[in-house]
Amino acid sequence: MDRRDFFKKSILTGVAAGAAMTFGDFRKIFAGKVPPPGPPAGYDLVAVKDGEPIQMFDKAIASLGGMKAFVKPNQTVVVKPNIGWDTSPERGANTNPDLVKRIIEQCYSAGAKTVYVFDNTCDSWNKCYENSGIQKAVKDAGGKLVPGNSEGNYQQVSVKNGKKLKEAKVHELILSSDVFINVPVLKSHGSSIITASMKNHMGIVWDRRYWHKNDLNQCIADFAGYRKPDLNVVDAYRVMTKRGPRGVSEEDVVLMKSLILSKDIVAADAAAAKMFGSEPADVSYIKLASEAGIGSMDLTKLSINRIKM
Amino acid sequence: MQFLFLKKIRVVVSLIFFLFTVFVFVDFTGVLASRLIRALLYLQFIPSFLKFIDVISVAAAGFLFILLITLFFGRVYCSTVCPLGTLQDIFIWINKKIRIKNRIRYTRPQNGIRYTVLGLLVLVCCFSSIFFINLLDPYSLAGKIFSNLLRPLVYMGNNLLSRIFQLFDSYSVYSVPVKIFSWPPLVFSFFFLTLIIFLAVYKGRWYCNTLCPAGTLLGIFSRFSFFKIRIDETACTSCGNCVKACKSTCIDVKEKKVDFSRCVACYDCFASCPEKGIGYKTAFFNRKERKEEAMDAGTIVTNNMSSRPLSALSVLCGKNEFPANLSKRNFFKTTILGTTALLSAKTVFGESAGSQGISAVPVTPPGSVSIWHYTANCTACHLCVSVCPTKVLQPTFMEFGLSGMFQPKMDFHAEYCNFECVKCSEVCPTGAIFPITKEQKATLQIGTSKFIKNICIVVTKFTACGACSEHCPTKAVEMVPYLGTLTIPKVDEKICVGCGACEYACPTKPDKAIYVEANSYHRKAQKPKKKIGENKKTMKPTDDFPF
Repeated sequence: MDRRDFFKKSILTGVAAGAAMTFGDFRKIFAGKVPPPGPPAGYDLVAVKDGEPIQMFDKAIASLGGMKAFVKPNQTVVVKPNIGWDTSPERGANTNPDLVKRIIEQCYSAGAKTVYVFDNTCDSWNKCYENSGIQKAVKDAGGKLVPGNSEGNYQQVSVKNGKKLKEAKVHELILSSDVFINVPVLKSHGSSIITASMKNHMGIVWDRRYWHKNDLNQCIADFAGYRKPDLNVVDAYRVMTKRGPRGVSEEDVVLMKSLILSKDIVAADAAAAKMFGSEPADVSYIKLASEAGIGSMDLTKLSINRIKM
Repeated sequence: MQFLFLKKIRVVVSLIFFLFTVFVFVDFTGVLASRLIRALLYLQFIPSFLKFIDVISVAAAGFLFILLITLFFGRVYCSTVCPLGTLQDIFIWINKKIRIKNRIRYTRPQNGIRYTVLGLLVLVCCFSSIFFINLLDPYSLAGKIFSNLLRPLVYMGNNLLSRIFQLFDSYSVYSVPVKIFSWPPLVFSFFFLTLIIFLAVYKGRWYCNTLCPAGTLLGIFSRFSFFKIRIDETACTSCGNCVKACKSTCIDVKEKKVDFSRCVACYDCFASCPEKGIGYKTAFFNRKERKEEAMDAGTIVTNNMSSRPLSALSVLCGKNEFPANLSKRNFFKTTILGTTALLSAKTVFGESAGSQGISAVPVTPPGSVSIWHYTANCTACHLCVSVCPTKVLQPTFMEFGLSGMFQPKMDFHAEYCNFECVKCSEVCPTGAIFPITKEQKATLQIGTSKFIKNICIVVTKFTACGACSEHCPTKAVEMVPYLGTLTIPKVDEKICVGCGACEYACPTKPDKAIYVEANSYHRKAQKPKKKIGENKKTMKPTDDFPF
């Protein structure tokens, strides 16, 4: 989809959303006529451990029906890893480059037209892109790496149902791409305990300071409901268990060799919190988002595929 | 002998130096290696001279080469290496192309102003101040013009291009934010540029022969040049063509004399003479040449050069911190200057000192040793501002006091210092910022973070924040338990390097709840802690899934 189509689609989506709101959950309307979306097995969440990033992802995505279940031919995809810091892959502050590379490759295999990758970084964006190894990974996979440093690329949107965050400036690629794949890395965080899928969204908006200033956890939860990713891939290969989210040295990192995939952003974070050693309910924004009905943090009610390599 | 080819060489060489210098000041890609930048700015006279006083080494001896060349051929520097000289030449050239009437004629030397300015400058220097140099050094003035005026224009042009590319779904041209946080340097540069254009058009190289300290000093040396440009009195028909060609207005056709102390060695006069009667002659040509009086300036140069090195720097900043040694004389010089500079800073901006959330003195970049060393050596060329990838380095107006006008500071409201970057230290041509390695920088403390608890979001709004701790590269700012599940910043000043990431990230307005207080003398920080508590609950590779 290109820019012109985007506006057309925005209007249509608005109409559709309005209709959905009027008639309630539209899936119920079409129940019985349209086969339920998702893979035959219908897993809500897939967790993999003891493998290398590429192999783990291949196995996990296959169990969700393959990338074809998410990306249709000729669609545009935006992959949003965490590239926030000017550190090496070994430090675990940014998403594993191999994983990012594999996701892009899979998207193209599924027929994607263009796969964009970007992050609104904390450290200087060009150094982050380069030293995280993600620049090379994207280039090798044929993806399009987009700088996230220009305010002109962010568009003002209103956040419906937001309690503290009523509006935000969101990167146009998030708004214009057909498919949004969120690829955070699991890390410790000084004030929100962990950072994973939902907190990774801080890199698709322009003004992060506003969030920090106006109840960080509530803002994270508010925004999680704005544009739910079509797929969340939580990289837990190298996990920064302390001094996050930037970390100081490789001593902060534990080799966990795991991966979580879920369409449910709250469930993905809940599982990540468990792996990290925290209760999901203790992580304020997970609880808030779950309460707001954005997703489910109760892992016992989900169908989970647990894979050991 | 006339050597007409000299002009062609001069034009080519000057354009190479000029274009390169302009590029260095407007480039945002960082494509040029620091070594290359250093090499090409090696010959900048005043920066090299200042650096040489501090680091007596070949690495800073560029000005000696210039002096040597001057002793042979006159002020070659002024028409080749000096970017301000070439800038004026460009305006003079444009003026010649578009105007019918050339107004430039012989003028009498402004020796009164020239030597007063130079003398005053030397005097102020003896009282260890850089004042006048930061306002008069031609390289630094050109730098200010390129960095403050041209660079934003280049960025804006690039950003326009970036938008156009994006319309075609190409992100290959990335945009570069134009970060201007202080207007006086821009306004000053604009007025100076206007002035220099006016002077170039109406008075030729007036600036170089009246106010420029490098021009005046080199002029003194060029009085003793072995080769000088002279009029062959037997050939001269007093047609006056050379007078019209001379942008230094130093050819007196009545007396058939060239004031070589004002000649910038542009060689424009050579081709203008129909009789081929003007050109380089040895010092012994035209015997009636009267003897010039030796000037005192030379003595000052030798005085400074003979200072004995003292490893004051190494003492202050740990072993082998810097490859440079400060001379004892200079150490005192910088101390005295710094005190005066700081006094003036405090008297001018006394109200800001000690107020909440603002460092009493500006933070100086890593490698600048101390505020005294920095303010005594920085000519405010703004090269560091240009090459700084984050633009944490921002030009000031009077924050360093009157004598430190326009010197850049670390502005943590603009950005923060990249932990892995030492670019400014690598390119600084004056030695105000000494070269440091990334390893040295990792423990170099330019200031320390101060936490103002009562305005912190966690306290005032009772919500989580932690932006400061997030950005901290050494975890000197750590989130510790506060009330309930809330955590609050705690600063360990021993491992803080003063990069300003916390101050930049802090969302409180207008005062930041955490800010960097400058270290007047940069210190050595401890390395970040090695062993800290394990998270025992974390899933181990051997464990099963915890869900």
